[in-house]
Amino acid sequence: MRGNAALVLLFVCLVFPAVLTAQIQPDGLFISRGAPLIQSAGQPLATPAEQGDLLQFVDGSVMHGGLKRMDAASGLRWENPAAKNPIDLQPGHIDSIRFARAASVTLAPTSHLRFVNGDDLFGSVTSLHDDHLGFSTWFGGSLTIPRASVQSITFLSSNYTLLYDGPSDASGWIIGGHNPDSWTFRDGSFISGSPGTLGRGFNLSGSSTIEFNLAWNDIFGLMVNIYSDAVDHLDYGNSYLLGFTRDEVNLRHLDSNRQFPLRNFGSAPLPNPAAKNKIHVIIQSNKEEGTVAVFVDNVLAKRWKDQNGFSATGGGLLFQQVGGAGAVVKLSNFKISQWQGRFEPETSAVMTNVDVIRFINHDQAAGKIAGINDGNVTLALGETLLQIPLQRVTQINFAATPVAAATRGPWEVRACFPRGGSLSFQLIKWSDEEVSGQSAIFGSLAFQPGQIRQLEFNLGHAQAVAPVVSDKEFEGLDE
Amino acid sequence: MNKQILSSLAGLALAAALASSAPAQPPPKFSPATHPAPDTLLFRNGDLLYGRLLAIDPANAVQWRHPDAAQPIEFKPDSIAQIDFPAPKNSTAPPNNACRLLLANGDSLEGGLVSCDREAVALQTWYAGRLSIPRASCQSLVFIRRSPAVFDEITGLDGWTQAVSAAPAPGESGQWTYRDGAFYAGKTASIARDLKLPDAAEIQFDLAWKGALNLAVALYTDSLRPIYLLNKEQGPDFGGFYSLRLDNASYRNIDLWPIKKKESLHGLGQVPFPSLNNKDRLHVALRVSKAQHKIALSLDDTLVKEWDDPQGFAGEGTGMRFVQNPGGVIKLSHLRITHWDGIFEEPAADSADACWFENGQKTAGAIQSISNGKIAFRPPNRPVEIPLAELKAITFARRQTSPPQTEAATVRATFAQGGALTFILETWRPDGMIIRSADFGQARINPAAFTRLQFLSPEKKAAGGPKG
Repeated sequence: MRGNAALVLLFVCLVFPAVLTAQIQPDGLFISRGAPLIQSAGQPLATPAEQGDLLQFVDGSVMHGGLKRMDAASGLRWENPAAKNPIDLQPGHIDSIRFARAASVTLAPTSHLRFVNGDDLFGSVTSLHDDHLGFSTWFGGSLTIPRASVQSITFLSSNYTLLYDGPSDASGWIIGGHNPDSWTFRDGSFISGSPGTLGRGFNLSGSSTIEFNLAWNDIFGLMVNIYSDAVDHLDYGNSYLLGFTRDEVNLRHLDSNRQFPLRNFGSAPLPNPAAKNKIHVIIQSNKEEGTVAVFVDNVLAKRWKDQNGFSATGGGLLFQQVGGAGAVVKLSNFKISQWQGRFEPETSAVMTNVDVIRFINHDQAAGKIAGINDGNVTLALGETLLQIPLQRVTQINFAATPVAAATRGPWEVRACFPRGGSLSFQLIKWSDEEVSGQSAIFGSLAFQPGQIRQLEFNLGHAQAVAPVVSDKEFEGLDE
Repeated sequence: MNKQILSSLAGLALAAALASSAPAQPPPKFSPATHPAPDTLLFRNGDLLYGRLLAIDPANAVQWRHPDAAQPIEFKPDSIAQIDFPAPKNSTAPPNNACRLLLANGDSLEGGLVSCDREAVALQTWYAGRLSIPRASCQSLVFIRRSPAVFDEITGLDGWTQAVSAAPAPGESGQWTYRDGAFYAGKTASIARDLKLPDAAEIQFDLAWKGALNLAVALYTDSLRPIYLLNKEQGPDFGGFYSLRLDNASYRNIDLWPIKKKESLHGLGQVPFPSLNNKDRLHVALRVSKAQHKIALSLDDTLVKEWDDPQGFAGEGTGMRFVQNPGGVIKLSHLRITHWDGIFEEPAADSADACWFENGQKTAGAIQSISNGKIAFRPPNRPVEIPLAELKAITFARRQTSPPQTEAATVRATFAQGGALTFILETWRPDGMIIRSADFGQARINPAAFTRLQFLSPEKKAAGGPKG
């Protein structure tokens, strides 16, 4: 065991050279070779005392509590345990409200719509015509949507199943026993300030899409073990290991049954040109094609192909923070889905001047989409009309149409839903029973408050994004 | 009678009660502070709000104005951990015999030394009028020969020189920008000015950052353009300077380098400062003595390093340069440069009183009295009268009587000029706060004296309050 720990320390230093200068604690890394799933070595991550919903202002200030009511006439009423009376606020400087508890909605979507205004929804496309789209939604049944408001339609892979969406609390997550203080849960995020593991079993078996937000404050190293046998320590069982730093990502395969348990597939730079310290990561594991792909903010970093075929026996997910002293890593907004088939869900959309269809073999064709009928997409290529079976299509991107920039008032909010999707609308009223609003796309809307995970305000407000440290060392710097 | 009238009457009644309970001497007149920057309210659960403090009644509520709330918000005092205020512009003239009085419990008070007898030391302060502190509570007194600031506050880009780094640094180069009394840089950027640094100087500034801190501060430089160290021999001529490097990303330390043309690079010693990684703001204070070849660094009022340059003082100019290396977004504010007396060590208390002279000599004895700018002092041989102007410090003999206890203190307040005071807060209003000190009793204090009110937790109170 001790020898393995030393081996892994060497491995980590090779994978994360930046952390060589950081004060890594050798016993901060635990790995076992071919060990069975041992959950007892770890412990469930404690959920801190419930602090309620979280009100965030655009200046970065925050206040816990609970939303009592809200309407355009009287503003919002916020109940804070530190305040003697409920607080009445106007939305002028409010960034968002995150609700501690949000009930999952029942979804069996076959497609994912992205709208020109930045919204997105899961549902099922029922028809497509010149100027409108039939779309079946979880909140309003079958609706008609102006086609000009839609940027893209992504057709979900067959048997698409959402396995996890959260976290709203720490239940089910296991923290490695060797450093029980390494991860904490707060306000919908897991935060780690010292080396340690965080894992959870998801019974991953088919192809999968693992999404999460990753933020950091300093040079960091994060290992993400997918299809892991163990969720309380990094294991040499048959699985894939992604290593993230702020600059690159690499992929390795772990297999204790091989003479050389580590197979290196190579690394790729993280597509993060703005040098942000918060990114959205998507890991696509395609069993049929034997590939693992990593996207950062919907841009492909790298798709690796395992020539031996996809090989993993576990069903868990394990994160291990290996950053140096002071490095803090934050994980949030997990969405883990499973699917079958050769093609993986498209995770990005492109803005084009013409309609574009993407196919399951990654080819694409541009033209004019005439409609969707009888399970076929009709694509006009000049004078030629092509009938393409929907089964062969992964995504349709519609030609960008000039849209006048909408003026967004203080009461235009965007609701983000559990299990994905977001919708902006003019808020009319929020009460314990119902949230009502008026959407430019859908008209009148109504939800139950518990169906909304987060409500965003001031949608036109530009969020300040801090650039991150470059990896250049002192020798290259001025002074 | 509606609520507003009731509230006004209650306010008047409270004001009358405060007036009757104020100290006997005429209280100083204050005008409410008008700070453009918001106050910061930090809750015990980690929540944080910006806005404006309106009032504190510890038994009742902390009243807070928030820009999105039409009505003041009342918070439960027990839920508040700390309130921060922007540093005020100090326009008060220094008092006669200006000094800093260090108390046995670690508190310190600035003011003009008025008198001292066997029982008490009297200070005249701009923020609380005259204060009388029991001798038993006093530890030492250091005179402040404060001349007008050499440079006081960043007010804009005028007078500053921006330059592009000569280094092939990664990423784009940018510029420092000015906003609300602060410089900001989000990319590699250099800004410099001949600040006429004196030979013995105290240099203070505040830093705040997002992402990584990676700042180089050139001291006593004659170059307003950044120097690329790896190419310094091939680059333009420059006079020697010191480079103070604050880095919480690559090397995670603070270092001071003397930089001279045609001399190899060597540091004077690093300060491992791991807690820097957990911070996002610092108050930096440098005390520099050319004559002693020394530079002392304090961070957040704690001395962390004294560098002694064995090769002599390297700085050949009088300017400063701030170079933001690739890293996060950085904010530089409250830059203040003053002449300094060159004393690196505060005099320590002993079994007898002692007078410390400007020339470094010390005479032990007993302080009889201080009045009219002179100290009546009794060394072992014969009594003498010494003009205060000849002294740089006084230390008071340790008394057998135990100093007043601070268990009951509810608040530790940080002065804008440095130092702190623990007390029981009775009320806070923008135009005055009433406190009760274990050392000098009740006093009315101008809130503008403080940049921070820290509400002591029950554990800290039980432990006797924070020291030092």
